[in-house]
Amino acid sequence: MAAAETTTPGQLSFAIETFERIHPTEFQRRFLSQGTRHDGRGFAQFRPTHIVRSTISTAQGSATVRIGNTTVVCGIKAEVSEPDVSTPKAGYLVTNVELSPMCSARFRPGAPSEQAQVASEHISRLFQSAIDVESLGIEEGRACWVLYADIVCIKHDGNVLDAAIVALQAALRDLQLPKVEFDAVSGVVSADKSKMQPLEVEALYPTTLSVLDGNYLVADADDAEEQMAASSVLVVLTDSAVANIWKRGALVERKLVEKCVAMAEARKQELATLLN
Amino acid sequence: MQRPDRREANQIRSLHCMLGQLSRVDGSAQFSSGKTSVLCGVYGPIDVKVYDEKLDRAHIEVKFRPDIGVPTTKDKWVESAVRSTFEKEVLAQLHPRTLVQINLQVRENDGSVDATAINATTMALVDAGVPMKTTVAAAACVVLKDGSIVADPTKEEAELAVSTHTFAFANGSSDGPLYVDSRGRFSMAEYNRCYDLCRLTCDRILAFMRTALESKIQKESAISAV
Amino acid sequence: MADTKVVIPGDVIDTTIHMETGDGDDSVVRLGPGLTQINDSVTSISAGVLHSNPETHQHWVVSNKRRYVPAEGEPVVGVVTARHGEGYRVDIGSAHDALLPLLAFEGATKRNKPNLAVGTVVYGRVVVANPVMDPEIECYNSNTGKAEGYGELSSGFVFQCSLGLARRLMDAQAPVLNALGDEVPFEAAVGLNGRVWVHAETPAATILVTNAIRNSEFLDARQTKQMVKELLARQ
Repeated sequence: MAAAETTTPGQLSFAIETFERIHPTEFQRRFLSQGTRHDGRGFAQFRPTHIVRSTISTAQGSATVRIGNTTVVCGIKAEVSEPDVSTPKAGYLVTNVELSPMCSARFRPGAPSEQAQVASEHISRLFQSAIDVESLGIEEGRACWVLYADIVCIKHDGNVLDAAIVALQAALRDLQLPKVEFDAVSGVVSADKSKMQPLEVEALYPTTLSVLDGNYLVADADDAEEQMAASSVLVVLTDSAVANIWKRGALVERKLVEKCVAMAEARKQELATLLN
Repeated sequence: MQRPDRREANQIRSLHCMLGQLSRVDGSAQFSSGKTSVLCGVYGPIDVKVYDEKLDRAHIEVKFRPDIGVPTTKDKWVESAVRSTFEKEVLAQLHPRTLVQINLQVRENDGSVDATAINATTMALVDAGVPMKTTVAAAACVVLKDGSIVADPTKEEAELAVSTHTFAFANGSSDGPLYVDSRGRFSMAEYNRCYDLCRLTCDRILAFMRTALESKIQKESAISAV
Repeated sequence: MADTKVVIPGDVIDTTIHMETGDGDDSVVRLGPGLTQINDSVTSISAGVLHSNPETHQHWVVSNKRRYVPAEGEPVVGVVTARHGEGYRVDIGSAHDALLPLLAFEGATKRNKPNLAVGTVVYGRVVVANPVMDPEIECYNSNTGKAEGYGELSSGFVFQCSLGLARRLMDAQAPVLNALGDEVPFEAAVGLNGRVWVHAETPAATILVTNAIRNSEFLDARQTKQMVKELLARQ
């Protein structure tokens, strides 16, 4: 890395990488004030998004999603279990988001970080109403399907939440469950693997937007931008309604949320094409 | 359609706040909205673990415990909601290398717990004298199956709702939201109606907070005006 | 002279200077504790009574707290927690323990300096206090070289109180100290860090003084005198 060179008294010049390291906020500001971002994207531009299904052969449903450099893999294992006492006719979906040191130096090994737990909880709530849990029931009060969805981030370059939601979406659509029969006498559930059925999943289209430097609204912030974001807004749309608006961080103007929803509508078209 | 407790659609439950009840913490508040009650105790600025130490600001930690059972990821979510709301509003730059610890305990949960937790946190932070850019008030409302919107839902009303909305606003000149959590299936028209309703509710809650703080401060200053 | 009104965080304060004829050039507004400038307006950052001095254009907020943030020049009561090569670590109730140099006592030299054990109570003065460093105290007045009351405090009892009460106790006319002083002989050292050291002839007297001071937090002068009389009567 080039060391600082003194050009005129009181003025220093750095190599670009050094400047980014020492003054990340100022570095980003130089681009934002010119109407662009440090990777050349426009404010409303998403990084290239790729969805590949059935990437894990041992899972009943799986998908890998890449948004720019952020890579998330989702694998779903279906098991048979007893239904929850409060919902005897329904099965359930258990989601777990893993953010390990493998995806970013920011995470330490050990118990799940707050970010991972919050992501797990948020995604769990989002999908509760996206699938018909009663279709996962096998025998009232005795047997049901439990779907264990593990969402693992392999590479973290910002906006893991969007990638995770899309990955779970795609994995659920990839999922095929065998037709099952419940024997009331023996309590055994037998599966007919020749008759596989997909699951009905309501489409959820996520868009994360961040407010940088108090002023600039950008879509799909990468890691460097995420670190300096004053606030962030997650908008999740369905085909016909809004499923979630989640805004955290500093104060914003009222109409900012409306701008975010408009940008989310545009993203919805992109995602719908990719998912189908 | 009548609400189970006969309230009007935009009527909130009675608010109650007790400040400085805990003697060991630096500041405390118990905030109640009807039967929902959350207790908050705040320490700060105090010594911080090296792991969490930040060189230019105070580290803000939130611990949230539910009324029943052990904390789960649901409660971690509320911790994150409270922390992200206050992280930018507490003037943490004034106390670098320290910790502001916010402890929340739900006494009773009858709906709108997230909003009540945020309100209890505001009052406790102010009671502790932690410097803050603003006073934060939060409120919740839900959209029911018949399309009607009701403020300050009870647990029962929230369970039957088509969408739930929690907003937090700040005292001062700006009119935008500080925190938004809208979930379910709703339209932007419904969102805007909920926004307006919660804005009105938060104004009322801020007025209540002001009264509560004024009475505490006047009691204290009457003594010093000797 | 002073304007008083209760403010809460986020309230915008009107600090416009009303220029009167012959007011001179002093158009600088001075903000004390509890106020800060956010963008173009002055905002309150704590809840308390707003005081304004229209002549000097000073504004500040008075509020009561329990957690001490060290400020230069303030007297504090502390407890020694450790001894290092260059000084003692003293717990004064702030976020970080204070440093007390080994020679920061009256007449101390390298050969002849006090040797304080862990747990000793000291009365000191804050000399260094800023957000980026650990605070430092001294147990004498470094300008005059005299102890002036600072130093080790032996026997006696230390208890905590709110910062507001501590400030009121510093006043020589404090009702509770005067009411007690008329009847019970005792010594007290008040730290602006919300700690008070009390020493009286018997444990019973010490407890009486401690309780009287604690009780006086929310009482006015007349009520304080009454409260002290009742405590003494119960003896």
